[in-house]
Amino acid sequence: MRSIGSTLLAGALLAALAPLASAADTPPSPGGVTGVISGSGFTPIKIAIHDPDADAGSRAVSREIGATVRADLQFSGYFDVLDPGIYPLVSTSPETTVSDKWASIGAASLALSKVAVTGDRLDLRVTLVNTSPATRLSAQRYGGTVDLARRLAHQVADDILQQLTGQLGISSTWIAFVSKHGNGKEIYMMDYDGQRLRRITTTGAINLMPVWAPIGQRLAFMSWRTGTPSIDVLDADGKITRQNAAGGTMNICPDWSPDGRKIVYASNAPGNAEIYLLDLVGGRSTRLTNSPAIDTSPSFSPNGREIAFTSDRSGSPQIYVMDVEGLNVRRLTTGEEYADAAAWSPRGDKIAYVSRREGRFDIVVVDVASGATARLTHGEGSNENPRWSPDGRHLVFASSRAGRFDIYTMRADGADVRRLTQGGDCETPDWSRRAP
Amino acid sequence: MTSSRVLLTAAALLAAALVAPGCAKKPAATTPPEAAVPAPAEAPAPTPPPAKAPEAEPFPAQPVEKAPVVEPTIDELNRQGILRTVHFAYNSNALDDEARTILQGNATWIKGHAGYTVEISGHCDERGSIGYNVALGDRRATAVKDYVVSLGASGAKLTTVSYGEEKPVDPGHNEAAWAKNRRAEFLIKP
Repeated sequence: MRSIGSTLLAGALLAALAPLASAADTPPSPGGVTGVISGSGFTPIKIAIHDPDADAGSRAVSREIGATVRADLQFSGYFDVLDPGIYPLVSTSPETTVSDKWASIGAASLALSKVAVTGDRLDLRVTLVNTSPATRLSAQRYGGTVDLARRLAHQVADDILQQLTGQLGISSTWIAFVSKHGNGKEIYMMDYDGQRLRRITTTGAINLMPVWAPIGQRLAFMSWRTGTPSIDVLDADGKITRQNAAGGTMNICPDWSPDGRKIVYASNAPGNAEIYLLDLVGGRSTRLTNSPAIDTSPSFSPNGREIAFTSDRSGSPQIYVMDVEGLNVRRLTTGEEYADAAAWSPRGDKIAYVSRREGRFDIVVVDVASGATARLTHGEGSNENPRWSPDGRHLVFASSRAGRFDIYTMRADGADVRRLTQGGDCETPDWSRRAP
Repeated sequence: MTSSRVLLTAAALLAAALVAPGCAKKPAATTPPEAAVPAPAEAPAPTPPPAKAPEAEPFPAQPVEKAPVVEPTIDELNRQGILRTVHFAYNSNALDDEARTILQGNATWIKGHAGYTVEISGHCDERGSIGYNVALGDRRATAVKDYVVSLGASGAKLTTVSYGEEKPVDPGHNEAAWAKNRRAEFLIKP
């Protein structure tokens, strides 16, 4: 019962979706990773998101909320968010009639909302509707101060995503990174979409590689603030605490265990770089590796039972895996001149790392079980320090493709590359877990 | 009391004789000026004072604030580059012949100035990965320290630190810059 015009429009939308659908079905070439959605034949859900109804004084907030929710859902890869430009084609009378009309342009779901601003408080009501058959799926009310409008919008997007897919979203996550500041490098953070960027340390020193704790707003990082590189933890109140590492003059590259009770890192306490495991509760470190080589850049598996790391015991840096006691060391990378910066996906099945060719790096993802690799970047500048989003569907990394290093995200299959920072000299990012 | 008065008197007499033959020795003595004249006969004619000859100190043309035998400050030593930088090949921490020669010179100075603490820093060019480069820089600093210790310097006064690729001397993105950045530097510490 669609009109011809609507059918053409819906057809156009469907055509635009086709590459996305096939990416989920078959491995894209030249890669081999179907990282977007696992399972067979996923079709993104077509959804329309209005800007919330608002009085004259709340239009700006309304536009920001609408735009943020649409962007979050589009970024997730689960949705095809219909262009607001076509929304005027349908009317906004009572829900059942609206559902039919929205269904006619292909929207499977629809979010209707209303926002009111009183003083510095805003009140947002969101109704999620399935268009065909017409069903009201949820009605939710959100409140907060006006300056948190974006944060509320992110919550709305995650709620819609969970309602319609059963999955947990990442719209409220953050990215930490370092950037040049004065004579040093300080830690910065921003929303996962690059908004609300701010500096969060003032040490005057060089700091690198912030990594988010699994629980709470804490970051472990490496710092030269007391002379030799050491492991620090930054707490939500801004306090920095030196961690009691193994000793020596170099303690670097921290990563958290999934339960947040341990930090794995590299130390030169025995005279060369080895991997150690610090028990945060007892304050003691256990040595895990034992080779005259450089062993560094460790990454915990999401089940807490294994650690990926870099070792040059074969003559050049390569990625290895061992269990958490340091046993069962086995080499993961083959055919790489130089591999470093292993990052274990939260899904457990893949490890991202950097592979050097001709003095620059590309990001490669290796399937842990099979050893099959997929190169995600192809010589666009140098691409380094990949880290996963908490749902394992995206990566954040630093790239010099635009001249200087800035922070980018991309989907786990290498598609949808987005630049987040503009300033240059931005490096070693990490993606937070979901906000508590 | 008396002996010092005698000394003072003798000194005053000598001074008076050298500088102003016509001056009276002491107010109490009413010796006419001419009577003081014979006294200068013991001393040389009133010519400009002779140059003194202390141990190796040249006659100062102008006032000096410190004695030249004092060591240069640590800042000066570092600025002069008294301990020289060594460089490394790509991906390597091996010391070539030129590096060894430089380190032999550095070791000689260090051994001769055993009271100083010296920090050896290891550095890499930007082409490695950030994390691995800190470990490679540490390996370079350690290789240098081990060699200098093998030449007889005391390890207790030598410390190492790696800066990875974080402190390049040349920010360029070319072979010349990279070669300069792959290095170990020496810093004399207070």
